[in-house]
Amino acid sequence: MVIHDAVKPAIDIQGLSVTFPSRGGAVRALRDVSFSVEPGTVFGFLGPNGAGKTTAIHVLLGFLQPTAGTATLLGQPVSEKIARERLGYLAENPDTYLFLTGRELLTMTGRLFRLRGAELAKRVDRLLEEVGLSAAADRRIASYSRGMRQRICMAQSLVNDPDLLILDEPTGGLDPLGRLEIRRLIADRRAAGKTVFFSSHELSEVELVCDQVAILVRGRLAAQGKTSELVGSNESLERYFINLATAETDRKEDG
Amino acid sequence: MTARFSTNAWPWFGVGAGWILAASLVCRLEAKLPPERPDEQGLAGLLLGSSRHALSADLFEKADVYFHKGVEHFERKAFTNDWFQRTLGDIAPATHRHAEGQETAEIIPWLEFATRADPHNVEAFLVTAFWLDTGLHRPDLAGRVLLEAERLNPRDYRVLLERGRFEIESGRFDPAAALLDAALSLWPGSLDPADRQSQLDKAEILTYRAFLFEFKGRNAEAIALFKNSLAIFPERTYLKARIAELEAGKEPEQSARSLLSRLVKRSPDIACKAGEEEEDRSESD
Amino acid sequence: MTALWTLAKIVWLEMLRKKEIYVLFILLAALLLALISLDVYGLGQVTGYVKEIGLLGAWVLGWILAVNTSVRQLPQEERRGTVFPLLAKPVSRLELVLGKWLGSWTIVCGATFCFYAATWGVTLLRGGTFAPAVVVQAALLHAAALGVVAALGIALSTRMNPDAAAATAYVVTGASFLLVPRVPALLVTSKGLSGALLLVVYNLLPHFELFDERRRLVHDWGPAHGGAISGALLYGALLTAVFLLLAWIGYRKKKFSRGDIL
Repeated sequence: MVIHDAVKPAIDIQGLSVTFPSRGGAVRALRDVSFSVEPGTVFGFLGPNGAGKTTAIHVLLGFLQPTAGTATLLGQPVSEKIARERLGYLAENPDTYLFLTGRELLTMTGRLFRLRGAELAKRVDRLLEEVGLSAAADRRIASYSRGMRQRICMAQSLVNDPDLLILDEPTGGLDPLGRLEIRRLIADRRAAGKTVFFSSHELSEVELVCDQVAILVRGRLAAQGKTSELVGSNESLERYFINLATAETDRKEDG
Repeated sequence: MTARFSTNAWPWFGVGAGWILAASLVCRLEAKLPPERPDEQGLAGLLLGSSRHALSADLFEKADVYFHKGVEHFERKAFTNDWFQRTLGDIAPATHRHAEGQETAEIIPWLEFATRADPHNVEAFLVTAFWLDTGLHRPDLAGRVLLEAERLNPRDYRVLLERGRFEIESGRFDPAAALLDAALSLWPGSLDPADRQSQLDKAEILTYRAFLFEFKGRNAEAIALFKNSLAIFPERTYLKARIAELEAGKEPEQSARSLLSRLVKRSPDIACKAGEEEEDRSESD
Repeated sequence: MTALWTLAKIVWLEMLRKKEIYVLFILLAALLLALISLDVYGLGQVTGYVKEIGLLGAWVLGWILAVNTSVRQLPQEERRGTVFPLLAKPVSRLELVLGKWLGSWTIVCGATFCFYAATWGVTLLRGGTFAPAVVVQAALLHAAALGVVAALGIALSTRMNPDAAAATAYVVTGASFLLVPRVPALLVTSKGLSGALLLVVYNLLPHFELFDERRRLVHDWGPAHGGAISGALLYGALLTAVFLLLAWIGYRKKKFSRGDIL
């Protein structure tokens, strides 16, 4: 059963700014970014390299304190543990404890969510099957291929059956079959009424799965809306994105 | 693994503190080293160089700690009544006790290590022989130790003196006489002749040798050596009396054999420096 | 508590599977075998030096293990990038610090107690004895000392890289072992600035001599007074808490780099 607050968004960011001090002068990683993610949707978070996507995600997860603005997850401040009880997260280029087996990793993760006993064991078996790692479950993760490691990390993010799944570049480095697998998982989550928030460079993937997107360029929210509406007269989301990013870059240079 | 250099002050503090600690330890070791002597290298010498002397001294002290059942010698402290000192006093054993009987065997390994670390730590050899003989009643092993000590320190009179004492105890007076003559010819060696222990040793050599002359009826030589011994320690009235009796041609009241056997005999119940310190401490308290 | 033990278990599995801990066992076994074979003048049943050297080995190896294990825990999470998915779960930074300390401390204690058992075994082979009550006291005190060292390592690792943290931990704990117990005697002859510095060192650095009951074990003294042991254990718990508090203060607002991840 999915717990939704019908009024509150799954993610709500208002006026978010993050500035890093540095020797050459302050670096403004995020500038007054505001957007919301409706529950039960798949939301794409796009932007060129260095746009500030991971910074925004780190603020959402409480790894970074914003310089200004607010962020909430599932109606709770990001610092609240209760929010993270219902949250799943897959990091960019994920790595994990290579000395553990796949099964051990998922079991340890489940224990952090206070799952235990037969329920935990059943859930671990189901997840391993879902990501296609049942046969390799009792091998050390160090022996896994890159794709297998990505999948076990994906499974780790699903142990608590989260209401909100945050994925940072989930298809990075995967072959087409791997990317298909990720798309299927995302679709399954949406069908179950969950919210998925993910950042990606694979715009073709985003166009296939996302209900809404937000595009970040140089720390600023350049565009937000339904995928179909944003694509509009452009041939594709990719063409729209390139045009937008180029325009923003030109504006910065002129300004 | 990427190497990263932290720019905050902590690592430099650590390095600085490490240097200060190392310098302090070096100064402490230097203060403990005896004067350099030409010697064999051995494994310990090759590995440790001059610091083997300090290691040997530490191991010798460890044997003394074992003799005192783990209690270290009394050391004056600026304060003893803070919580740390009081708690430590309850946790670490502090009662002055000596190892007795078979317990004294426990000190032997540390003395052995001390001699291996520094083969020229003659005192360690002598103490080893002492405890093997008087503590564990193994004069055979004691003799073996002294032979080894002589092999490694052929010009140290103390080893020859101790061997001479053993020969006397065993009733072998001719070998004892030869050893004592050799000891006297090598005295004081590298040690300070004015040092009290050196003087005691010389007096001992002279006295024992004099008695051995007396056994052979060579009273003139005996008298000369007794007088030399008396010159070092004029307060030894028994020597004065003996000289007078021999010069008068009288049969001394106490036979030479009984007197000599009493002189060479040693007991484990020797005065313990730590015990004296504890008595001083309790008196001053 | 579940989170703490789960994090601790990850530390145990890493130490055991990376096999680093076994190197120390091999070293201690080699040392003890050498001791068994040493025959001093054919005197049997001489076990004091076996106990002494075995326990010294346990202390030194436990010390090395405690420092090396604890200083790497938190930086390793950051370098691997596993700190992010970890803190994205309902695990606070305080729990992470405590869990890593708990894992480091328990695995090091386990290894150290194995060293104790090896020493005990060799001593028994040689015909010696270990008083059980004293062994229990000594083990508890030693565990308290290891807890302090591990907490110090964790605290330092929140402020500096692992190598610098290890070096600093070795210097601090080394000075605590070697210098602090001698300060009251040194103060008899040290006055002025040096005396003042010694006093600062005495009051600031941990007093590890309170956790060292080897002399009672080696020389077959009976157990120490229970009150003193309790006091020492309480002192150890307090020191550990202080270092862990410093660790948390250093870690709670720490901005993580992305480590090896680009």
